[in-house]
Amino acid sequence: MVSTWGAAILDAMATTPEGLSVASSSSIARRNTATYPHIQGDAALAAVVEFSGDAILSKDLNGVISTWNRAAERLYGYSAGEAIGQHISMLRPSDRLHEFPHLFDRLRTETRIALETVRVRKDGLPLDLALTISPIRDQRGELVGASEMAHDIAERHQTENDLRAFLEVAPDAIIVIDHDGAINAVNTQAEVMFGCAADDLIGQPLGTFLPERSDVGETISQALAAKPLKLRPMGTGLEVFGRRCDGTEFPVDIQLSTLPTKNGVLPVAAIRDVTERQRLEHLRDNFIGNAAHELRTPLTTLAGLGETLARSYDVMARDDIETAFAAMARQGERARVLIANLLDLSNIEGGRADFTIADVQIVSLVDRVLESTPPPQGTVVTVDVPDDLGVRFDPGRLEQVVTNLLVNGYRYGGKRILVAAQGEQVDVVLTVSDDGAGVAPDFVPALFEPFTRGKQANVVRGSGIGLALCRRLVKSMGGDIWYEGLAPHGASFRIRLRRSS
Amino acid sequence: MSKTVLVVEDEADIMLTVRLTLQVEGYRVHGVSTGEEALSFFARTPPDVTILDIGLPGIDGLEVVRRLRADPRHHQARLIISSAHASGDVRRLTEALRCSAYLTKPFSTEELIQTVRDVLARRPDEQPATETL
Repeated sequence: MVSTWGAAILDAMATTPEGLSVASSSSIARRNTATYPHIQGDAALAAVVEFSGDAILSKDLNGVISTWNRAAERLYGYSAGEAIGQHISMLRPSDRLHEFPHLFDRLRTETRIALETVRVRKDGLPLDLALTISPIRDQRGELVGASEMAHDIAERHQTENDLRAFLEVAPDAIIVIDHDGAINAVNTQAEVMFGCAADDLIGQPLGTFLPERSDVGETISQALAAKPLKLRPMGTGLEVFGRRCDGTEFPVDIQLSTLPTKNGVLPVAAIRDVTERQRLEHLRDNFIGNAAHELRTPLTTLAGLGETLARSYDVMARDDIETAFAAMARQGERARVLIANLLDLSNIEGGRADFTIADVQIVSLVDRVLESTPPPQGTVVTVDVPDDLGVRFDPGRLEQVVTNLLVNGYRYGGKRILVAAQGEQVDVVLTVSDDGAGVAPDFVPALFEPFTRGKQANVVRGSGIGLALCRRLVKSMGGDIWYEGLAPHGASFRIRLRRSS
Repeated sequence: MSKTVLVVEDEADIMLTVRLTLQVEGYRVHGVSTGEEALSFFARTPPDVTILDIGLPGIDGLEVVRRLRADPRHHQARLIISSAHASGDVRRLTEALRCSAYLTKPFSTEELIQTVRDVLARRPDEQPATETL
């Protein structure tokens, strides 16, 4: 009897998750039984079972425990004397009493049933276990009972939970890939990035979400097939795209690595959505190009006229000389303003600008601005600001913003300009509007972006970053600035600022 | 008699720079700021050479070139394209339209004078000289 039970238990051990080394001793044991007298084989098997690191018990067809090894004593807390003769249900938590109503029916055809479940120790503590149940047959082959081998997986659960938590901490979408290229596990960031639930991702081929492109030098599947799989970046400088569940695509960077799991060492892809980075790079490239572009006219004029004057001053007409000097002064000033604004913008964006927030009386500020920047001939500015209305802002910076909006009105707006301010409960809305043509609707979204000048850009001078600077200043001090078109025509720039108490 | 140069340029100070620079070199310079004005100038008194900015409001410099080339009378007009965007596309287009030369802004007075001199030195039937493109 022992020999058949032992063989069944060894069969079960051969297929446990940690069973590799046990499996080899099993085959040795079997060879022993074949080579040596029967009793020796039984003794060897009994010893293997008794001293196994895993808890091993057996039960008859009624569920009554019939053997109980030392590891079972340690795991469950019952001695062999206490356990043998008891019903197996004493190990089950109350909600799992009927976990296997048809266990023995299954064991007539199956040689192994593996499951992860919960059992209860003698002291009432729950145990996370991996159970492997195998049939026990008598010498005629009739089913007489079952062996049940238990392995404590609390630690493995803990490791898996730690790993899962670790994957969640990562800022990237992380996808663990099976050896056959299917997605094995994902973190929450991957669900967010690809726009679908983990269930929709797991089991799918990786290529569904990272489509292979012929223009990629080494495809992801090729990289994954490399032995040994190396930790490496993929797609840096290449056009690699991720595909969301809704079919839309986005540019990604991929870092390949490996992860030891219960199923062996699996490839892992850390995926980063680089849409925003590419947008910023594009903006930066444009910014440099645009800045250079804006300096083109001043520099061509300064260098060209300077050289012509230096070479031909004596033969030039007096009028031409005066016009040339005036143009040089004008373009020199334009370049100076552009550079000053660029530095200003750069300092504010880099957090290097100091602001002195104070109570600013709006009406006197508007007066100062109008005095230093009076309207051109034919333009009338009306001021409608309550005397006592004030805001919390850096006075010099607010002057800069209002000057910028007024000068825009002078240049691009109509002949009538209104500067108004309205006090609300905690805010003040300051408005600079004119009755000109207004901003073309297709240009409005880009109005506050640097170097996006309207259609009149070529005929009206401007640095191209005035409104970008205004917005940056206003936002830096907690305010907001926006544009509203006026009916039937006209432009209105509004700033919301914190009202002074 | 001095040669006439038509400058089509919407930036007033660039126009001034080109005009004064070429004037002291002995050219008669006419300036207009739109493509429409350039075409009507051509209709009245075709210049010896034309410097055309691409980025004009209204009909742009390339459209002006197209319309001039479509007119048999201006088939061999000497046209210099000036632009800040020296992209390959623009260059191929100016080549296809048989422009005489290309000036990239910002250009120096020396480049300006030399280009005008070179283009004028060619016989009209030598236009365009692709090696300068």
